[in-house]
Amino acid sequence: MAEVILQVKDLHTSFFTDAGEVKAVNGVSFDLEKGKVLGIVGESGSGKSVTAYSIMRILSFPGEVVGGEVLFKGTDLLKISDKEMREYRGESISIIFQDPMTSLNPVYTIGNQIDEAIRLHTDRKGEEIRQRSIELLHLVGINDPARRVKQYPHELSGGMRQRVMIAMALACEPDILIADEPTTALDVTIQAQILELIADLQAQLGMAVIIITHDLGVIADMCDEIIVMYAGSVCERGNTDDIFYSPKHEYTKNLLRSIPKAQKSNERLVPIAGNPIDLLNLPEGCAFAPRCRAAMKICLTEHPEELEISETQSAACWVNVRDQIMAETEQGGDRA
Amino acid sequence: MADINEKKPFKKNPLSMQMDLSRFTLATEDEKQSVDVMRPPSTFWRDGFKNFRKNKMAMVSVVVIVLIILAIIILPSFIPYTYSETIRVDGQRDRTVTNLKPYEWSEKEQEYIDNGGELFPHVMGTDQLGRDYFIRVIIGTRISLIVGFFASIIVLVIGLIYGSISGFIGGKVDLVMMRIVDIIYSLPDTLMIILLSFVLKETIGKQIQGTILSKIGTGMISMFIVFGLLYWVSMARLIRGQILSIKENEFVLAANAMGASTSRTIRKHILPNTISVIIISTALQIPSAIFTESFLSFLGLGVAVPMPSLGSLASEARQGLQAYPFKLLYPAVIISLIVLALNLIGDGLRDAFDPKLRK
Amino acid sequence: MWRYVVKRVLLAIVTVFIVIAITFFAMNAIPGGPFDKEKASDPATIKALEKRYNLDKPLGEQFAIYLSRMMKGDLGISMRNGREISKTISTKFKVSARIGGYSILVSFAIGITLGVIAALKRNKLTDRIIIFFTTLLQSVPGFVMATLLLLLFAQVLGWFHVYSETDPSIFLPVLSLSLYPAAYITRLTKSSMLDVLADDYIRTARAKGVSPVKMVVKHALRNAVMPVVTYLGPMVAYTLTGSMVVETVFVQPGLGMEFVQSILNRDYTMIMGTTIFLASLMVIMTLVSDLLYKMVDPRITFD
Repeated sequence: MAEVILQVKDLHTSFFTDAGEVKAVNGVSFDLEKGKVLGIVGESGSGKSVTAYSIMRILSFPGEVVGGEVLFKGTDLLKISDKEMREYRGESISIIFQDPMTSLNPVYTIGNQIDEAIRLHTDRKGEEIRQRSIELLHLVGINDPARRVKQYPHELSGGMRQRVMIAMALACEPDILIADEPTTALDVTIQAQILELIADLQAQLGMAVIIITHDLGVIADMCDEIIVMYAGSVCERGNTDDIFYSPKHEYTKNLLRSIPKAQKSNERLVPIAGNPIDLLNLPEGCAFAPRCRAAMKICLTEHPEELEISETQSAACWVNVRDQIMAETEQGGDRA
Repeated sequence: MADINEKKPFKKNPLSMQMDLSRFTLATEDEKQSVDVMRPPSTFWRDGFKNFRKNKMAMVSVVVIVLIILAIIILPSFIPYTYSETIRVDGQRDRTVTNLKPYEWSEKEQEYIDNGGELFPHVMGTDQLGRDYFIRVIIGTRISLIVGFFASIIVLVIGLIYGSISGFIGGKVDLVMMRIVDIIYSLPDTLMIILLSFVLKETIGKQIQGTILSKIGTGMISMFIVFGLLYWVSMARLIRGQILSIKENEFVLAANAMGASTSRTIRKHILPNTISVIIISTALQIPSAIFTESFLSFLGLGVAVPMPSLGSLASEARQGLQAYPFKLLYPAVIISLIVLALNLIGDGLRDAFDPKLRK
Repeated sequence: MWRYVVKRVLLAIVTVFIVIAITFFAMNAIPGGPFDKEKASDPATIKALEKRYNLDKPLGEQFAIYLSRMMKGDLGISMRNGREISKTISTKFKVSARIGGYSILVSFAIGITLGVIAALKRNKLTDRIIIFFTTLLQSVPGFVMATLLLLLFAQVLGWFHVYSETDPSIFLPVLSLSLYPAAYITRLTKSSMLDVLADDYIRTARAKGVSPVKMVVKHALRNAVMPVVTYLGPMVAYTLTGSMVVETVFVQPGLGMEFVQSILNRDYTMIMGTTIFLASLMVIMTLVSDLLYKMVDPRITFD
C-alpha cells in the first residue's frame, strides 16, 4: 500500500470581512500518497487555492482556518506553532503561484531569491549555496544559468520566471509540491512546456504534486486522482477516466459540456447558466442547485453527502442517490 | 485500508435513509430562484453613500462643518458688536476695554452695568484695539471659509475647462497643453503667491483703496489670481484622464455599432467615477486653500486690516502671547477643526467611493 | 531612461528660467522705482545706485544684465543695508539648512518607522492612535503649531532657551518643522507598506518559510520605501516655506526670517534675490528626488 503523506480532514476556512463571514472552504477532505499527482479542479471562488493556502498556512488577512486537520506524516500542521510551520514551508511542502511576474521580488536578483530558500533550510554555506542555485536553474531548463542567476525578474520572460519559481520551490527537495494555477498566466505555447517540466521533475524527484487549476485540459494527462470543487466543497473525486468519461456530479458534467472538445466539433457549447456563487450567503442545500438543470427539491434543502460510486470514484450529488433508489426499487420490484 | 476509506464515507443504502421520494422530483425555476439569494442591486451612488454613512468620523465631521456654518451665519445677528469698531460704552471711548479676558468687563463697562445698563458679554474677550474678539473670530471664520470655497471653485472651473478641451481635441493641441501643465506644475506655488501678493500690494494697493476690493485686501486678490493661474493643473490632468477614457470607450463601442450602450457605459461607469473624483479633489482643495490663506495672513500678506481671517487673528495673537494665550487658541482650534473635518470628509468620500474597496 | 533624465533636466531649467523672469519683471512692475522710498539719499548717491542697477537701460536689457550677473553669483546689494545679497543669502542659508536638514532627517526617521508600525498593527489600537495623531497634525497649520510649541515648551515649561542670543536652541524649530511632514510620511509609508504586504512576492517569501521579521525588513521594506523617496522634493519645498514661519516664531537668524523681514521692509532687491534662490532650490530638489526614484527602482534602471 502506498504511503499516505498528507491527509486533509474536513477542512473549513473562512474570511472574516466587513461584509460578513465568507466561507471559502467547507469541509474538504482528501489523502495524498507519496509520489502521486493530485489535481484539484474548480472555477474561481471554488476554494481550491484557499485549500492550498490553508494547508501551508499562508492565508492572508482576514482568512482563518476554522476547523479540520491537516496531517503531514502524522503531524497536524494546523496545531503547530508558526515557528515550527516555517520549517515545513519550502522544505517539506513547497508552492508555486499563478503569476510569476508578481510572485518574485522585483528588487532582488533571482539568484538572491533562490539562495534564500537554500540558506533557510539546508546547511550549505557560502559558495555552495550559489552553486546549488545554478544547479537548480539548470535542472528547470534555463540556459546559461551562471549568467541568469545574477539577473532581475523583469529581465526574464514569463515562462522563464515560472521556471525560476519552480527552481526555488524545489531547492530543498520537498515531499510535496503544490502548483497553484501554474500555467494560467502564461502563453499557450509555454503552458505545455511548464506542465511537461513539472511532470518530468515529479518523475525525477519522486515528489507528490498537487495541481490546482480551473482548466480541465491541463490535468487530463498528468493526474492520478482528480478532485472537483465547487463553493468550497468537494463535488466529486476519481481518477482521470472516472471524471472525464463517467462523471457523476452535475457540476462536473456541466464543466465537461462547456469546454470545447476537439472531437465533437458539431456539438453546441453549453455554458453553465445562472450566477456565480455568493460565498457570503451559501444556500442550505447543494450549492450548485440553483444553476443545475437536474436539480430536485431535495437538492435545495439538503446538502448532499459524498457517497462512494466505485472503488476509485465518489460524488456528492442527490442524482446518484435517486438513481440508486430507482435501481434498487426496480430490483425489489422484479423480485416481487 | 482505513486511510483510503477516510475520503469516501461509508456506502449507505439509500433506502435506509428514510427518504421521502417526492423530494426527488425536479425543482422548479422559482424554487431555485428563491434559494439563490442575490444581493439587492445597488447603484454606484447608493453604495457609495451607504459606505460613507458607515464612516463615523466622516459623519461627525459633516455635522461639525454644518454646525460651524450655521453658527457663522446666525450668530452675528445676535451680537451687537462689529469686527472693526472699537467698543464704545454709552457712546464714549473706553481705553480700558482692551485685552479683556472672556466674559470680563472693562472699568467703564462695569460702571455702566452697575448703573443698570445692559451689555452683551464679550464671549471671547477683546483684542488689543478694544474690539470684541468673538465677533472677529466669527467673521474671520466666514472669511476663511469663503476664501477656501471660492479658491476651490476657481480651481475646479479652470481645471475642468482646460482638461476637457485638452482631452477632447487631443493630438498636438493636447500635447502642447500638457507641456504647459508640466511647466506650471513645477513652479513653486507658495513663493509665487508671496511674490505676487507683495507686488500687487505695492502696485494697485493705493488705487483700490476705498473700494470693496481694498476691504478684501490685495493678499486675497493675489491669492485668487495665483490659484487661478497655478493650482488648477492637477484637476486639469484628472479631467483629461477621464475624458480620454471616455473617448477610448467610444471607439470601442462604436465598432460594435451599439448606440445606446455607449451612453450607458459613460453614464453608469465613467461619469460617476469622474464626478466622485472631482468632488473628492475639491473637498480636499478647500483645507489646502485655507492653509495658504492663513499662511499669507500670518506673513502680513493676507486680508487687509481690519478684516479678520483666522490666519491674521492667529498672527496678531502672537503679541502678548504669554498674557493672553486664548487669543491664539480660539482661531487655532477653529481652523484646525475645520481643516480636520474637511480632511476627514475628503478621506471618507475617497474610501467610500473607491471601487477597489467596494465588495 | 536617459531620455527621461534629459527631459526632466530640461524642464527644470525652463522652470527656473521662468521663475527668474517672473520675479524680475514682477518686481520691476512696482511703480515709483526702488529708490523713491529711500529717504536720506542725495541725488549723487541715487545716480550712482541707478548706474549700478542700470536703471537707465530698457527693461529687457536690465534683465539680461541681471541674468549674466547672476551666473557669476552676483545678486546685487540689499536696499536696506547695502550688503551683498549673495553673501547674506549664503550666511543665512547655513542656519536654515541646518534646521531644515535636521527636520528632514527627523521627519523621515519618525515617518517611516511609524508608518511601518501602523501597517503591521493595522486596525489595532496602535494603528488607530497613529492615525489619530497624524490626521490631527496634518490639520494644524504650521504657524499655529510653531506658536503652540513655543507657548508650551519655552514659556510654560521653560525647557528651552528660545530667545538666547548666543545659542538659540534649534530643538523647537526642528520639531515644529518636522511634525507635518512626519505625519504625511507616516501615512504614505503605511499605505505603501500595506500595498507591498499584499503583493504576491511577500506570499512567496512566506511560503518559502521566511520569518516574519525578515519578510518585513528584507522583502517588504525596500519596496515600500521607494515611493516615499519621491516625497523628498515636495518636502524640501515645504521646509523652505515653513522656515519662514518657524524662524520668525523662534527668532532664528535664517534665510526664512530674512525673507519675511525683507518683505516687511520692502527691500526689493533682497526679495528678488531670495525668491530666485529659494525657487531654484525647490525646483532642483524636486528634480533630484524624481531622478532618485528612477534610479532606486531596478525595474527602470535597466530599461
